[in-house]
Amino acid sequence: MPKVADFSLDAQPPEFEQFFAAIEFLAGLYEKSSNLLPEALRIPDIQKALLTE
Amino acid sequence: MPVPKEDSNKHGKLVSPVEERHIDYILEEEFSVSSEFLSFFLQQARLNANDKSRIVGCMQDGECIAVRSATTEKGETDLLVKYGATDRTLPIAILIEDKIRAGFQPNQPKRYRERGDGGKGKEWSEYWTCLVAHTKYSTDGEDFDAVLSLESIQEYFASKTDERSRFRARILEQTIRKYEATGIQIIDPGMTRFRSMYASECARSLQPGQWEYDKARDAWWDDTWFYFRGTAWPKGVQIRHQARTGRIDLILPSSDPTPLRAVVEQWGGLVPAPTTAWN
Repeated sequence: MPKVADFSLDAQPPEFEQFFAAIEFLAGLYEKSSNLLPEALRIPDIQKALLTE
Repeated sequence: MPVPKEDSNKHGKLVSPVEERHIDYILEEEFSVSSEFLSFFLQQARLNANDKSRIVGCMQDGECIAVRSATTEKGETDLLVKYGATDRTLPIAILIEDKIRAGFQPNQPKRYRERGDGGKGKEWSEYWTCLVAHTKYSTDGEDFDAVLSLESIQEYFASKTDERSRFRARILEQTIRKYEATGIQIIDPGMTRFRSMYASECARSLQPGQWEYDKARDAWWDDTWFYFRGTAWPKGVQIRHQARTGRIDLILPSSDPTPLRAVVEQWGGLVPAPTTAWN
């Protein structure tokens, strides 16, 4: 993931698309593997069905 | 490390995270029911007031009224206390600003004084402004008529023997510890803009209704962590993006990394070994 070094008022915006791509990758990984996790960490089946729709 | 949202008391039980409004509530109630507390407050205020004559005393048995979030067109006062009124005279007012960690807003002490001037002769005969904060809080406190330390108020409650006062002493102690652990949060315009920009990008790029993410808010220096949560995810599961370092973590609320190994095995080299940095 790219680092953001400058947060000043006149800084150029970073490449947000790269952030969201990484976040969605990690989210997808969790959602696909959730059934391997203990129940408390699992996405409930009904919610999972909605996600895959 | 994220700042813990909960703390433990001496019995090992969890207690609520302390916020500025806890101080408002404690002071509101104490001013309303205890003339002894008002006397203590006046005495402490006189100790370090720039102009002691502004800290006007009163008869012990006079009525004292306290109102939280007293708002006029000139802004909001955390706690407005009125005391010393008689049948023929207006009360004296204390306009109190409580600070735990937040920095001053622009001209905040000056605006307190403007609100005091605004009510003079109509709602109160005299007024004084007061900052309640940690002893090490910003020197801008000098612009208030008096500064009362959280430590002195904590000591006041700690000296009492009833359970209610002891509870208040613990809340104040927690407040003092919080300040000492983290210091003042001064609003940083650049970081506030960055967080606002990030929130706008989230609204534009993430699928509506599927995500919870940090909304735009005032931010301080190095306030660079962003949290994301799928709306279908169980409580505590979240993604954290540390913008400065470029690190991104999936956080699962478990102290046992064993079940996570199955995920690592399934995804091979794509996933690093789990850690238990804080959960």
